[in-house]
Amino acid sequence: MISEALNEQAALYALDALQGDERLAFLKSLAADSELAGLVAEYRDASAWVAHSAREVTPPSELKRRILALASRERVTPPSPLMMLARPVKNSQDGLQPLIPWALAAGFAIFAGILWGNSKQSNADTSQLARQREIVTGLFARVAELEGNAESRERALASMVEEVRILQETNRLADVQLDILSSKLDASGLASVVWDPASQQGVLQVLRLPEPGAGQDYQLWVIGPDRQLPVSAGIFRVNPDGSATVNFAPAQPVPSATTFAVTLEKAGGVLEPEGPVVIAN
Amino acid sequence: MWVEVSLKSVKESRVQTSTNESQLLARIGQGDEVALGDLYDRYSRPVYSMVLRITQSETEAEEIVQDVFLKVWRSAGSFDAERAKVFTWITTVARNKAIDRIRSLRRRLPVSGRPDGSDLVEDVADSTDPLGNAIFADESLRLSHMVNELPVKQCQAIQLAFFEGLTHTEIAGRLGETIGTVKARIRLGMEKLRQKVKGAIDDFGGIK
Repeated sequence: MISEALNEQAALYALDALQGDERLAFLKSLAADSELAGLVAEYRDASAWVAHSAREVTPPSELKRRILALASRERVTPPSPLMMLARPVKNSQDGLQPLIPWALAAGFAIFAGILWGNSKQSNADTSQLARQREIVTGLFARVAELEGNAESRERALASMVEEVRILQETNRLADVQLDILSSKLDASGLASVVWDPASQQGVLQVLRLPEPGAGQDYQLWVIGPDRQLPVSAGIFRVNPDGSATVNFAPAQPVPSATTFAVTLEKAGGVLEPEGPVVIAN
Repeated sequence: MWVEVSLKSVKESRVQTSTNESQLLARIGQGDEVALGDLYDRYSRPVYSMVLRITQSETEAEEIVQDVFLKVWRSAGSFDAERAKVFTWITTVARNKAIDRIRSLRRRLPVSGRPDGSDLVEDVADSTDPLGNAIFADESLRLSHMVNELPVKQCQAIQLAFFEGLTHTEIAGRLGETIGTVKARIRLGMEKLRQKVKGAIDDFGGIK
Protein backbone atom coordinates (compact mmCIF):
# COMPACT_ATOMS: atom_id res chain seq x y z
CA MET A 1 0.00 0.00 0.00
CA ILE A 2 1.50 3.27 -1.14
CA SER A 3 0.93 6.23 1.15
CA GLU A 4 -0.58 9.47 -0.13
CA ALA A 5 2.69 11.26 0.50
CA LEU A 6 4.68 8.75 -1.54
CA ASN A 7 2.05 8.80 -4.26
CA GLU A 8 2.39 12.57 -4.48
CA GLN A 9 6.17 12.31 -4.57
CA ALA A 10 5.94 9.65 -7.29
CA ALA A 11 3.90 12.00 -9.48
CA LEU A 12 6.39 14.80 -8.94
CA TYR A 13 9.37 12.50 -9.47
CA ALA A 14 7.99 11.26 -12.80
CA LEU A 15 7.89 14.87 -13.95
CA ASP A 16 11.36 15.57 -12.50
CA ALA A 17 9.76 18.17 -10.27
CA LEU A 18 10.94 16.66 -7.00
CA GLN A 19 14.06 18.16 -5.54
CA GLY A 20 16.62 18.18 -2.75
CA ASP A 21 16.26 16.04 0.33
CA GLU A 22 12.74 15.06 -0.60
CA ARG A 23 14.04 13.62 -3.86
CA LEU A 24 16.78 11.67 -2.12
CA ALA A 25 14.38 10.30 0.48
CA PHE A 26 11.99 9.29 -2.27
CA LEU A 27 14.75 7.56 -4.19
CA LYS A 28 15.58 5.55 -1.12
CA SER A 29 11.96 4.45 -0.83
CA LEU A 30 11.88 3.70 -4.53
CA ALA A 31 14.91 1.45 -4.24
CA ALA A 32 13.16 -0.79 -1.76
CA ASP A 33 9.59 -0.84 -3.02
CA SER A 34 8.63 -2.60 -6.24
CA GLU A 35 5.02 -1.41 -6.02
CA LEU A 36 6.23 2.17 -5.86
CA ALA A 37 8.54 1.53 -8.82
CA GLY A 38 5.52 0.30 -10.77
CA LEU A 39 3.57 3.43 -9.88
CA VAL A 40 6.46 5.63 -11.01
CA ALA A 41 6.58 3.76 -14.31
CA GLU A 42 2.87 4.43 -14.83
CA TYR A 43 3.28 8.10 -13.96
CA ARG A 44 6.18 8.29 -16.35
CA ASP A 45 4.07 6.77 -19.12
CA ALA A 46 1.42 9.37 -18.34
CA SER A 47 3.95 12.20 -18.33
CA ALA A 48 5.20 11.14 -21.76
CA TRP A 49 1.79 11.93 -23.16
CA VAL A 50 2.04 15.50 -21.92
CA ALA A 51 4.29 15.88 -24.95
CA HIS A 52 1.18 15.77 -27.09
CA SER A 53 -0.15 18.94 -25.55
CA ALA A 54 2.53 20.94 -27.36
CA ARG A 55 1.40 22.71 -30.50
CA GLU A 56 2.05 20.25 -33.26
CA VAL A 57 4.77 21.15 -35.69
CA THR A 58 6.02 18.84 -38.37
CA PRO A 59 9.81 18.58 -38.48
CA PRO A 60 11.47 19.62 -41.72
CA SER A 61 11.38 16.87 -44.28
CA GLU A 62 15.15 16.90 -44.72
CA LEU A 63 15.58 15.83 -41.09
CA LYS A 64 14.39 12.31 -41.83
CA ARG A 65 16.72 12.03 -44.79
CA ARG A 66 19.61 13.30 -42.67
CA ILE A 67 18.95 10.83 -39.86
CA LEU A 68 18.65 7.91 -42.23
CA ALA A 69 21.83 8.97 -44.01
CA LEU A 70 23.71 9.21 -40.72
CA ALA A 71 22.36 5.86 -39.60
CA SER A 72 23.45 4.32 -42.84
CA ARG A 73 26.89 5.91 -42.59
CA GLU A 74 27.42 4.66 -39.05
CA ARG A 75 26.96 1.14 -40.24
CA VAL A 76 29.66 1.42 -42.87
CA THR A 77 32.14 3.61 -41.01
CA PRO A 78 35.58 2.16 -41.77
CA PRO A 79 37.75 1.38 -38.76
CA SER A 80 40.81 3.46 -37.98
CA PRO A 81 44.29 1.96 -38.22
CA LEU A 82 45.35 3.84 -35.10
CA MET A 83 45.30 2.40 -31.64
CA MET A 84 46.97 5.25 -29.86
CA LEU A 85 44.57 5.23 -26.96
CA ALA A 86 44.35 1.53 -26.28
CA ARG A 87 46.01 0.48 -23.08
CA PRO A 88 45.27 -1.49 -19.93
CA VAL A 89 43.03 -0.01 -17.27
CA LYS A 90 44.90 1.82 -14.58
CA ASN A 91 43.73 2.25 -11.04
CA SER A 92 45.45 5.49 -10.41
CA GLN A 93 44.61 7.20 -7.15
CA ASP A 94 46.03 10.50 -8.28
CA GLY A 95 43.68 13.38 -8.11
CA LEU A 96 40.71 11.31 -7.08
CA GLN A 97 40.14 12.95 -3.73
CA PRO A 98 37.80 15.61 -5.07
CA LEU A 99 35.75 12.91 -6.72
CA ILE A 100 35.13 10.79 -3.67
CA PRO A 101 31.77 12.36 -2.87
CA TRP A 102 30.88 12.12 -6.52
CA ALA A 103 31.94 8.51 -6.76
CA LEU A 104 30.08 7.62 -3.61
CA ALA A 105 27.04 9.40 -4.87
CA ALA A 106 27.32 7.55 -8.14
CA GLY A 107 27.77 4.33 -6.25
CA PHE A 108 24.68 5.04 -4.27
CA ALA A 109 22.72 5.88 -7.37
CA ILE A 110 23.84 2.74 -9.13
CA PHE A 111 23.04 0.54 -6.20
CA ALA A 112 19.71 2.27 -5.79
CA GLY A 113 19.04 1.59 -9.43
CA ILE A 114 20.10 -2.02 -9.10
CA LEU A 115 17.85 -2.40 -6.11
CA TRP A 116 15.05 -0.79 -8.03
CA GLY A 117 15.54 -3.17 -10.88
CA ASN A 118 15.96 -6.17 -8.66
CA SER A 119 12.98 -5.32 -6.57
CA LYS A 120 10.84 -5.66 -9.64
CA GLN A 121 11.71 -9.31 -9.87
CA SER A 122 9.50 -11.42 -7.68
CA ASN A 123 11.30 -13.69 -5.24
CA ALA A 124 14.69 -12.36 -6.17
CA ASP A 125 17.74 -13.35 -4.21
CA THR A 126 16.71 -11.90 -0.89
CA SER A 127 20.06 -12.29 0.77
CA GLN A 128 21.71 -10.40 -2.07
CA LEU A 129 19.06 -7.72 -1.83
CA ALA A 130 19.65 -7.45 1.89
CA ARG A 131 23.37 -7.03 1.30
CA GLN A 132 22.74 -4.39 -1.33
CA ARG A 133 20.40 -2.54 1.00
CA GLU A 134 23.12 -2.52 3.61
CA ILE A 135 25.52 -1.09 1.07
CA VAL A 136 23.06 1.61 0.10
CA THR A 137 22.48 2.51 3.71
CA GLY A 138 26.22 2.65 4.28
CA LEU A 139 26.74 4.82 1.24
CA PHE A 140 24.05 7.18 2.41
CA ALA A 141 25.78 7.52 5.74
CA ARG A 142 29.21 8.07 4.19
CA VAL A 143 27.94 10.66 1.74
CA ALA A 144 26.33 12.50 4.62
CA GLU A 145 29.55 12.44 6.64
CA LEU A 146 31.81 13.70 3.90
CA GLU A 147 33.31 17.07 4.31
CA GLY A 148 33.19 19.52 1.49
CA ASN A 149 30.77 21.66 -0.35
CA ALA A 150 27.33 20.29 0.38
CA GLU A 151 25.79 22.10 -2.51
CA SER A 152 28.19 20.64 -5.04
CA ARG A 153 27.71 17.19 -3.56
CA GLU A 154 23.97 17.47 -3.87
CA ARG A 155 24.27 18.73 -7.40
CA ALA A 156 26.60 15.91 -8.35
CA LEU A 157 24.34 13.37 -6.74
CA ALA A 158 21.25 14.72 -8.42
CA SER A 159 23.06 14.63 -11.69
CA MET A 160 24.22 11.07 -11.23
CA VAL A 161 20.74 10.00 -10.21
CA GLU A 162 19.50 11.46 -13.44
CA GLU A 163 22.05 9.46 -15.34
CA VAL A 164 21.04 6.26 -13.66
CA ARG A 165 17.42 7.05 -14.38
CA ILE A 166 18.24 7.42 -18.05
CA LEU A 167 19.90 4.04 -17.96
CA GLN A 168 16.86 2.65 -16.20
CA GLU A 169 14.79 3.71 -19.14
CA THR A 170 16.49 1.07 -21.18
CA ASN A 171 16.12 -1.48 -18.40
CA ARG A 172 19.74 -2.45 -18.49
CA LEU A 173 21.32 -1.53 -15.23
CA ALA A 174 22.62 -4.68 -13.67
CA ASP A 175 26.09 -4.54 -15.20
CA VAL A 176 26.59 -0.82 -14.98
CA GLN A 177 30.16 0.16 -14.26
CA LEU A 178 31.64 3.41 -13.04
CA ASP A 179 34.98 4.74 -14.21
CA ILE A 180 36.79 7.82 -13.02
CA LEU A 181 38.75 9.72 -15.63
CA SER A 182 41.53 12.10 -14.74
CA SER A 183 43.35 14.78 -16.67
CA LYS A 184 46.27 13.85 -18.89
CA LEU A 185 47.30 17.40 -19.70
CA ASP A 186 47.05 19.27 -16.42
CA ALA A 187 45.43 18.85 -13.06
CA SER A 188 42.21 20.59 -13.87
CA GLY A 189 39.99 18.23 -15.83
CA LEU A 190 37.99 15.51 -14.14
CA ALA A 191 35.37 13.17 -15.42
CA SER A 192 33.37 10.08 -14.63
CA VAL A 193 31.72 7.59 -16.89
CA VAL A 194 28.75 5.47 -15.99
CA TRP A 195 28.77 2.70 -18.58
CA ASP A 196 26.20 0.01 -19.24
CA PRO A 197 27.75 -2.69 -21.43
CA ALA A 198 24.44 -4.47 -21.94
CA SER A 199 22.80 -1.57 -23.72
CA GLN A 200 26.11 -0.10 -24.95
CA GLN A 201 25.19 3.27 -23.51
CA GLY A 202 26.83 5.50 -21.01
CA VAL A 203 26.89 8.89 -19.46
CA LEU A 204 30.01 11.01 -19.31
CA GLN A 205 30.26 13.80 -16.79
CA VAL A 206 33.14 16.22 -16.97
CA LEU A 207 34.22 19.04 -14.71
CA ARG A 208 36.57 21.92 -15.29
CA LEU A 209 37.43 21.23 -18.90
CA PRO A 210 38.53 24.39 -20.66
CA GLU A 211 36.64 25.54 -23.74
CA PRO A 212 38.18 23.93 -26.79
CA GLY A 213 39.89 26.33 -29.12
CA ALA A 214 38.25 27.70 -32.22
CA GLY A 215 37.68 24.97 -34.77
CA GLN A 216 38.05 22.23 -32.18
CA ASP A 217 35.75 19.80 -30.37
CA TYR A 218 36.16 17.30 -27.60
CA GLN A 219 35.58 13.73 -28.75
CA LEU A 220 34.92 10.70 -26.58
CA TRP A 221 36.35 7.27 -27.39
CA VAL A 222 35.51 3.84 -26.02
CA ILE A 223 38.24 1.22 -26.03
CA GLY A 224 38.15 -2.47 -25.27
CA PRO A 225 40.22 -5.60 -25.90
CA ASP A 226 37.60 -6.90 -28.30
CA ARG A 227 38.13 -3.88 -30.55
CA GLN A 228 41.49 -3.26 -32.10
CA LEU A 229 40.70 0.40 -32.55
CA PRO A 230 39.15 3.12 -30.43
CA VAL A 231 35.47 3.54 -31.21
CA SER A 232 34.08 7.04 -31.37
CA ALA A 233 31.26 7.90 -29.01
CA GLY A 234 30.76 11.35 -30.47
CA ILE A 235 31.81 14.91 -29.90
CA PHE A 236 30.54 17.11 -27.10
CA ARG A 237 30.59 20.68 -25.87
CA VAL A 238 31.27 21.99 -22.41
CA ASN A 239 29.33 24.63 -20.55
CA PRO A 240 31.02 27.93 -19.71
CA ASP A 241 31.96 26.52 -16.29
CA GLY A 242 33.73 23.60 -17.96
CA SER A 243 31.11 21.01 -17.10
CA ALA A 244 29.15 18.72 -19.36
CA THR A 245 26.85 15.76 -19.08
CA VAL A 246 26.89 13.65 -22.19
CA ASN A 247 24.73 10.63 -22.96
CA PHE A 248 26.67 8.52 -25.40
CA ALA A 249 26.71 5.30 -27.34
CA PRO A 250 29.74 4.18 -29.31
CA ALA A 251 29.37 3.98 -33.06
CA GLN A 252 30.15 0.28 -32.89
CA PRO A 253 29.59 -2.15 -30.01
CA VAL A 254 32.40 -2.46 -27.49
CA PRO A 255 31.34 -5.45 -25.40
CA SER A 256 34.23 -5.27 -22.92
CA ALA A 257 35.00 -1.59 -22.67
CA THR A 258 37.92 -0.90 -20.36
CA THR A 259 39.02 2.58 -21.26
CA PHE A 260 37.21 5.83 -21.88
CA ALA A 261 39.15 8.75 -23.20
CA VAL A 262 38.50 12.27 -24.39
CA THR A 263 40.67 13.80 -27.08
CA LEU A 264 40.77 17.26 -28.54
CA GLU A 265 39.98 17.04 -32.23
CA LYS A 266 39.11 19.29 -35.10
CA ALA A 267 35.54 20.59 -35.13
CA GLY A 268 32.98 17.98 -36.04
CA GLY A 269 35.12 15.10 -34.88
CA VAL A 270 37.30 12.60 -36.66
CA LEU A 271 37.02 8.95 -37.58
CA GLU A 272 40.29 8.14 -35.85
CA PRO A 273 41.81 9.83 -32.83
CA GLU A 274 44.38 12.36 -33.93
CA GLY A 275 44.58 15.00 -31.21
CA PRO A 276 45.94 14.90 -27.67
CA VAL A 277 44.30 12.84 -24.94
CA VAL A 278 42.71 15.27 -22.51
CA ILE A 279 41.24 12.92 -19.94
CA ALA A 280 41.20 9.14 -19.64
CA ASN A 281 41.04 6.38 -17.07
CA MET B 1 -23.76 -4.73 -36.06
CA TRP B 2 -21.64 -2.62 -38.40
CA VAL B 3 -20.49 -0.55 -35.44
CA GLU B 4 -19.47 -3.64 -33.51
CA VAL B 5 -17.49 -4.98 -36.44
CA SER B 6 -15.81 -1.61 -36.96
CA LEU B 7 -14.90 -1.29 -33.30
CA LYS B 8 -13.50 -4.78 -33.25
CA SER B 9 -11.51 -4.00 -36.36
CA VAL B 10 -10.09 -0.84 -34.81
CA LYS B 11 -9.16 -2.65 -31.60
CA GLU B 12 -7.47 -5.43 -33.53
CA SER B 13 -5.60 -2.84 -35.56
CA ARG B 14 -4.35 -1.16 -32.42
CA VAL B 15 -3.18 -4.42 -30.92
CA GLN B 16 -1.48 -5.22 -34.19
CA THR B 17 0.12 -1.77 -34.18
CA SER B 18 1.57 -2.41 -30.75
CA THR B 19 2.95 -5.73 -31.90
CA ASN B 20 4.28 -4.12 -35.03
CA GLU B 21 6.09 -1.64 -32.88
CA SER B 22 8.00 -4.35 -31.06
CA GLN B 23 8.78 -5.85 -34.43
CA LEU B 24 9.90 -2.44 -35.70
CA LEU B 25 12.34 -2.16 -32.81
CA ALA B 26 13.60 -5.66 -33.49
CA ARG B 27 14.14 -4.81 -37.15
CA ILE B 28 15.91 -1.58 -36.26
CA GLY B 29 18.14 -3.57 -33.93
CA GLN B 30 19.08 -5.68 -36.93
CA GLY B 31 20.04 -2.61 -38.93
CA ASP B 32 16.85 -2.19 -40.96
CA GLU B 33 16.79 1.44 -42.08
CA VAL B 34 13.25 1.19 -43.45
CA ALA B 35 12.06 0.26 -39.97
CA LEU B 36 13.89 3.27 -38.55
CA GLY B 37 12.09 5.41 -41.11
CA ASP B 38 8.74 3.98 -40.10
CA LEU B 39 9.41 4.63 -36.42
CA TYR B 40 10.45 8.15 -37.33
CA ASP B 41 7.22 8.69 -39.27
CA ARG B 42 5.25 7.60 -36.25
CA TYR B 43 6.97 9.56 -33.51
CA SER B 44 8.96 12.41 -35.00
CA ARG B 45 6.15 14.94 -35.00
CA PRO B 46 5.15 14.70 -31.31
CA VAL B 47 8.78 14.42 -30.26
CA TYR B 48 9.88 17.35 -32.41
CA SER B 49 6.93 19.44 -31.24
CA MET B 50 7.75 18.71 -27.62
CA VAL B 51 11.44 19.52 -28.01
CA LEU B 52 10.66 22.69 -29.96
CA ARG B 53 8.30 23.79 -27.20
CA ILE B 54 11.02 23.19 -24.61
CA THR B 55 14.01 24.65 -26.41
CA GLN B 56 12.19 27.30 -28.47
CA SER B 57 14.83 26.70 -31.11
CA GLU B 58 14.27 24.89 -34.36
CA THR B 59 17.97 24.20 -34.76
CA GLU B 60 18.27 22.59 -31.36
CA ALA B 61 15.02 20.70 -31.82
CA GLU B 62 16.36 19.20 -35.03
CA GLU B 63 19.66 18.29 -33.37
CA ILE B 64 17.93 16.64 -30.45
CA VAL B 65 15.47 14.69 -32.60
CA GLN B 66 18.39 13.57 -34.72
CA ASP B 67 20.34 12.48 -31.63
CA VAL B 68 17.35 10.62 -30.26
CA PHE B 69 16.62 8.63 -33.39
CA LEU B 70 20.29 7.80 -33.83
CA LYS B 71 20.26 6.63 -30.23
CA VAL B 72 17.30 4.42 -31.12
CA TRP B 73 19.27 3.16 -34.10
CA ARG B 74 22.21 2.22 -31.90
CA SER B 75 20.28 0.90 -28.93
CA ALA B 76 17.16 -0.73 -30.37
CA GLY B 77 18.75 -4.15 -30.23
CA SER B 78 19.04 -4.01 -26.48
CA PHE B 79 15.74 -2.30 -25.76
CA ASP B 80 13.22 -4.53 -24.03
CA ALA B 81 9.92 -3.53 -25.58
CA GLU B 82 8.05 -5.89 -23.30
CA ARG B 83 9.12 -4.01 -20.22
CA ALA B 84 9.08 -0.41 -21.31
CA LYS B 85 7.01 1.55 -23.76
CA VAL B 86 8.78 2.79 -26.81
CA PHE B 87 7.08 6.15 -26.84
CA THR B 88 7.88 6.70 -23.16
CA TRP B 89 11.49 5.80 -23.81
CA ILE B 90 11.88 8.08 -26.81
CA THR B 91 10.01 10.95 -25.18
CA THR B 92 12.00 10.66 -21.98
CA VAL B 93 15.34 10.65 -23.75
CA ALA B 94 14.33 13.60 -25.94
CA ARG B 95 12.93 15.58 -23.05
CA ASN B 96 16.01 14.97 -20.91
CA LYS B 97 18.23 16.26 -23.68
CA ALA B 98 16.03 19.29 -24.23
CA ILE B 99 15.76 20.12 -20.54
CA ASP B 100 19.53 19.71 -20.19
CA ARG B 101 19.97 22.26 -22.95
CA ILE B 102 17.69 24.87 -21.44
CA ARG B 103 19.03 24.34 -17.96
CA SER B 104 22.54 24.92 -19.19
CA LEU B 105 21.71 27.77 -21.49
CA ARG B 106 18.73 29.26 -19.65
CA ARG B 107 17.67 31.30 -22.51
CA ARG B 108 14.67 31.60 -24.75
CA LEU B 109 14.84 32.41 -28.41
CA PRO B 110 11.77 33.24 -30.42
CA VAL B 111 10.54 30.44 -32.60
CA SER B 112 10.67 31.48 -36.20
CA GLY B 113 7.96 28.92 -36.64
CA ARG B 114 6.04 27.52 -39.44
CA PRO B 115 2.53 28.63 -40.19
CA ASP B 116 -0.01 26.87 -38.05
CA GLY B 117 -1.95 24.24 -39.85
CA SER B 118 -0.17 24.28 -43.16
CA ASP B 119 2.51 21.90 -41.99
CA LEU B 120 0.47 19.64 -39.79
CA VAL B 121 -0.52 17.12 -42.39
CA GLU B 122 1.65 14.10 -41.87
CA ASP B 123 2.78 12.60 -45.09
CA VAL B 124 1.65 9.11 -44.19
CA ALA B 125 1.40 8.19 -47.84
CA ASP B 126 5.18 7.87 -47.95
CA SER B 127 5.29 5.63 -44.95
CA THR B 128 5.56 1.88 -45.24
CA ASP B 129 3.18 1.58 -42.30
CA PRO B 130 0.47 4.18 -42.94
CA LEU B 131 -2.18 2.31 -40.92
CA GLY B 132 0.01 2.12 -37.83
CA ASN B 133 0.93 5.76 -38.14
CA ALA B 134 -2.65 6.83 -38.68
CA ILE B 135 -3.77 4.92 -35.58
CA PHE B 136 -0.97 6.47 -33.56
CA ALA B 137 -1.89 9.92 -34.85
CA ASP B 138 -5.50 9.32 -33.83
CA GLU B 139 -4.38 8.16 -30.39
CA SER B 140 -2.12 11.18 -30.07
CA LEU B 141 -4.98 13.53 -30.81
CA ARG B 142 -7.18 11.83 -28.24
CA LEU B 143 -4.47 11.97 -25.59
CA SER B 144 -3.56 15.56 -26.35
CA HIS B 145 -7.18 16.43 -25.70
CA MET B 146 -6.95 14.41 -22.52
CA VAL B 147 -4.10 16.59 -21.23
CA ASN B 148 -5.83 19.79 -22.24
CA GLU B 149 -9.07 18.66 -20.61
CA LEU B 150 -7.44 18.70 -17.19
CA PRO B 151 -8.49 21.58 -14.95
CA VAL B 152 -6.51 24.61 -16.09
CA LYS B 153 -4.43 24.98 -12.93
CA GLN B 154 -3.48 21.30 -12.86
CA CYS B 155 -2.57 21.39 -16.56
CA GLN B 156 -0.56 24.57 -16.05
CA ALA B 157 1.49 23.12 -13.17
CA ILE B 158 2.18 19.89 -15.05
CA GLN B 159 3.17 21.71 -18.21
CA LEU B 160 5.55 24.01 -16.33
CA ALA B 161 7.30 20.95 -14.93
CA PHE B 162 7.29 19.06 -18.20
CA PHE B 163 8.13 21.75 -20.72
CA GLU B 164 10.23 24.11 -18.62
CA GLY B 165 11.87 21.61 -16.30
CA LEU B 166 10.81 23.53 -13.20
CA THR B 167 10.77 21.95 -9.76
CA HIS B 168 7.71 22.22 -7.56
CA THR B 169 9.34 25.07 -5.65
CA GLU B 170 10.04 26.97 -8.84
CA ILE B 171 6.51 26.35 -10.09
CA ALA B 172 5.12 27.67 -6.81
CA GLY B 173 7.23 30.79 -7.20
CA ARG B 174 6.17 31.26 -10.80
CA LEU B 175 2.48 30.87 -10.03
CA GLY B 176 2.50 32.66 -6.69
CA GLU B 177 1.05 29.61 -4.97
CA THR B 178 2.17 27.61 -1.97
CA ILE B 179 4.35 24.57 -2.53
CA GLY B 180 1.65 22.38 -1.02
CA THR B 181 -0.93 23.68 -3.49
CA VAL B 182 1.36 23.05 -6.44
CA LYS B 183 2.19 19.53 -5.27
CA ALA B 184 -1.47 18.71 -4.84
CA ARG B 185 -2.35 20.03 -8.29
CA ILE B 186 0.39 18.04 -9.94
CA ARG B 187 -0.58 14.93 -8.04
CA LEU B 188 -4.27 15.25 -8.98
CA GLY B 189 -3.55 16.00 -12.61
CA MET B 190 -1.01 13.24 -12.98
CA GLU B 191 -3.33 10.75 -11.32
CA LYS B 192 -6.04 11.58 -13.86
CA LEU B 193 -3.58 11.22 -16.73
CA ARG B 194 -2.29 7.96 -15.33
CA GLN B 195 -5.76 6.49 -15.09
CA LYS B 196 -6.66 7.61 -18.60
CA VAL B 197 -3.46 6.34 -20.17
CA LYS B 198 -3.83 3.08 -18.27
CA GLY B 199 -7.42 2.82 -19.46
CA ALA B 200 -6.36 3.44 -23.02
CA ILE B 201 -3.75 0.71 -22.77
CA ASP B 202 -6.23 -1.72 -21.26
CA ASP B 203 -8.82 -0.89 -23.92
CA PHE B 204 -6.62 -1.20 -26.88
CA GLY B 205 -3.94 -3.66 -25.96
CA GLY B 206 -1.14 -1.23 -25.46
CA ILE B 207 0.03 2.13 -26.64
CA LYS B 208 3.64 1.33 -26.91
